[in-house]
Amino acid sequence: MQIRVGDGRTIKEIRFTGKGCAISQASASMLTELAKGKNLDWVKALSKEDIVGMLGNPELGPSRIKCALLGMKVLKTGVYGYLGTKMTDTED
Amino acid sequence: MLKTEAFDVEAVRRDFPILARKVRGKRLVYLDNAATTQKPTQVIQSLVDYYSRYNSNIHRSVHTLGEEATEAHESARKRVAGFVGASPKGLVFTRGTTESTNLVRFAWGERFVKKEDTILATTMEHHSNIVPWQLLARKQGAALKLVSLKPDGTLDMESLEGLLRLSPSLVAVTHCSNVLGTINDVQKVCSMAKAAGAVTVVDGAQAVPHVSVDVGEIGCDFYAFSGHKMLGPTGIGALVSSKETLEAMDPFQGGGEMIREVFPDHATWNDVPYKFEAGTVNIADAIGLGAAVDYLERIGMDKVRSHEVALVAYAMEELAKVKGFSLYGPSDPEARCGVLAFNVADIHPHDLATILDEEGIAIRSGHHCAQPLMRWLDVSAASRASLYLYNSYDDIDALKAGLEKARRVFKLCAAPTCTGRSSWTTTGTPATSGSWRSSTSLPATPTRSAGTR
Repeated sequence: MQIRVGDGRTIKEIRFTGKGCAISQASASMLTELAKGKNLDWVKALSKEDIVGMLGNPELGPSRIKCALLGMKVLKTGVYGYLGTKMTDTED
Repeated sequence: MLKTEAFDVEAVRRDFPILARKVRGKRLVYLDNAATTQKPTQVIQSLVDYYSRYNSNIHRSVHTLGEEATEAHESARKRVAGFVGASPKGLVFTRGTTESTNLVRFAWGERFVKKEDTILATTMEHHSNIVPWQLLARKQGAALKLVSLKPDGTLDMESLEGLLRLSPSLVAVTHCSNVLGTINDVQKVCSMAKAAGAVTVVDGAQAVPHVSVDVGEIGCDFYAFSGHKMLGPTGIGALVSSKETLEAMDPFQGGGEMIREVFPDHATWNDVPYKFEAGTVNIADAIGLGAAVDYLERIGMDKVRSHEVALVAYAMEELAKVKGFSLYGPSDPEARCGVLAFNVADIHPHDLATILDEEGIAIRSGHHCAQPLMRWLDVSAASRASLYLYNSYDDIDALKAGLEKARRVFKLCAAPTCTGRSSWTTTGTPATSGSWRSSTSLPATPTRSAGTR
């Protein structure tokens, strides 16, 4: 996932390169649409519920939820890395 | 194709209560036997009997329950050992194949593998027969090398021969690949390794449940397998070796039962195999594994094998009719165990597995704990259907219908020459920001941007 940050904290452009199952690819793709123009704090505040909601609340078991959250995880890791702060999110 | 049955499959199916279960309103078609198998009533009942009639610790309590439990546990050891042609004194009960290979790593490896030694494994190993050797190599300052494979998914014996010239101290090889299905000529590998002065470890996790195994004939130093892949409970398996080899080794875990005498500053060890069974062992599940062995012996391993070969041959013929189906491993059904790893066009295995699950069909998808092999196959994931004695021709037909359904879900075109997507993927709008950073080389995988799907 690549982002271009403008004004210090706004996602000006975002794209991803991926290979994987339909859920992971759809979720990452939808996330890039949603994230464009958003503030980095918006990314930091993203939750599992946000992503599941974005996907239309599909029924996902403990294995497939990982597919849905992969894009968010990558984006968050990148944003925290960019900001130079430690990610404090806990996995559930 | 002729549908023959080596035994009454319907009668066998009735022994497995779970097979009567419905999944998502459909008949359960269980094709994930390489991951774990279902349990017959006889095995389940052996656990109920133990816990409801004679639950007790073994080898120490002299009361009636203790004696009965000890007798049942040691009788299970005898039957399980007999099942693979081993002596009971040479059979250590473990948690499973993984604990067995790790036992060899610690108790044999850390004692006998020296700095700058070579350890050999093969490219088709499950992680349980490769990661322990990576860790051992790192600890001892040794080098781990992998025997390569031939394009048909069999071991490259020339590669093995070349690597044996390095005089490895240990050679680890799987009896049957959990992905390719390849049955290796482990007898030959072991005799070549022995001639080169190496100690041999064979991973029998996918072999013992499916083919008749005689460790004496194989001539290996260690043979490892798991109970839960052969109708037994989880949490029990075995490491088989010779009494002499086990006696020369260091203990594995320290604690009760593995000792003879304990002094304030040192201890002496119990006889083998008890030297390697510290603490209260998994009594119930060892007894359950004994019941599983009884069950398999009653059917006969030759019949289990011929049933699986017939099913594999049928599956290979039928599934090949699904457009875009590609199977990994040997093309001769006789050369493989009941494992069929495949991909269908570019449908991701996880998606395929989810679609099949809607039809009540259980398969495995992913890397199958064999990432070096997946790299060799140049795929990130595969689907895997794996068979056992209770699977039927109907199960294969259900799988085939499920694969056809997956093709429809993903709107794959039906032309005989077409294996990829139909035209819907090209209808998306072009990337709005596709040109930025175009000077850097991106991987040759599909790039998607905001606004494109």
